[in-house]
Amino acid sequence: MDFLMDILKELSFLVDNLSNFFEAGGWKYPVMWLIGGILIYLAIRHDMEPTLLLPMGFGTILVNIPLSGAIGEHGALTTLFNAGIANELFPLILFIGIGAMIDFGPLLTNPKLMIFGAAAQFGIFFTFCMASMFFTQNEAASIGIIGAADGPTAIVVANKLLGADNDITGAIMVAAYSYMALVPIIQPPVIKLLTTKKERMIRMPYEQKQVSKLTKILFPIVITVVAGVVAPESVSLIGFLMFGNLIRECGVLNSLSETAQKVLANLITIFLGITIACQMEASKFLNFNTLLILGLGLFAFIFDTAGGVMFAKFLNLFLPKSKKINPMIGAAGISAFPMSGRVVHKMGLKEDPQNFLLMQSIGVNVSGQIASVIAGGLILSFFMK
Amino acid sequence: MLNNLILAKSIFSDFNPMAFVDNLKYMLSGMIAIFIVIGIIVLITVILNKIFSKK
Repeated sequence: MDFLMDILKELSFLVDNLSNFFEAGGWKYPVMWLIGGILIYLAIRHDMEPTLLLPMGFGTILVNIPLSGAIGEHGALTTLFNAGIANELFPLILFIGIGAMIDFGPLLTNPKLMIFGAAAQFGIFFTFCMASMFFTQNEAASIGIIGAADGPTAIVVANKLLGADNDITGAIMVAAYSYMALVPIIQPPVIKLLTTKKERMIRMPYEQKQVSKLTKILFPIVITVVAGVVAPESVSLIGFLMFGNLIRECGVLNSLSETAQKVLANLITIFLGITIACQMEASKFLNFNTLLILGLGLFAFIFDTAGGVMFAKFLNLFLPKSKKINPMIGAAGISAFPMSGRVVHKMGLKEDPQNFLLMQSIGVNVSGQIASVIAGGLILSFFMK
Repeated sequence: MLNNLILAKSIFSDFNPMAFVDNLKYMLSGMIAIFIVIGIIVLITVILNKIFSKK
């Protein structure tokens, strides 16, 4: 009998853990498991940013097990978070990989397309104004940057403005990555709403031009210097992105370029995804603020798209009939690369099977990548004290 | 649940529509700055293309 009592005493921790689960607020854990499950489902079933959404989904479950050992002072995820996200190391290293993946060729062939990348950052600033009605200025700026459609930039800006352990940082990161995956769903209705069928059918002949190797090598260096001088806070962001591109274009570091594009990017993405989940603890995530931030994030993507399309329509007012721009390419100016460029290309083909907009839309898309980083730097210049 | 309701109430009690107007200056200056920076980059790219274009 004593033996049985001893065993029961030893097992009493199970009762404690279960009671902890059912205590006030315990309902939040299954809700977070469900959210984690949805992220995993979207990644596997719909192939939406699986490299990020799957680790994020699993991480969400991991951190929302009551008394989870994965988080806390000595938790593995907390250690990873402090080592790679709180100090912005992971997003910046990921930028090297992204830079190595980007071919600026289509943009260098037609540099004027870059202007649409600038126009499509409208959503960032407009959402900032909207968010400022509900949040403090720094919080609103961090929410606005969701419109950069660029996870690493959103993480860096939010961390610098709010600190890594802020309650809304998690929601901002989740919104930034989730909406990037949802670009093919968010953009088409907005584009259709703002354009006529006739406008969507405008053809833009692509003129193939040779870009010299020296131009391709000088481009990342020049961009870093220009962006760095104007917005010094953006130097690390733009610098790491352009460093990756320089590795790609220099022609003597092919092995490093391949490693950056594949191994490095994949490795950091795994750590980034699962570590972001640290911010998705039920107590921090399940509140009204999160809903509001998700809504404002969607708003930012919609107004980015609208900004690009409307700017192209505005330019068309002054262009001769033969030089009109298909306004849809303006929407590719958000930096969700290459989804946004592909969305525009597919929409063009749907309206007219002979209308190939891929090169132009990808050119605008990569310019959006540069413009979003500059926008992040400007936001930091405005609000970092 | 009650906490969330209290939070929602506090958010809407902090609702400040004038902040939108006050912050429009950042929107304007941000967009102008982006267009200027991108404009400079476009200009430099055109010059680079002109100087180093293949014949």
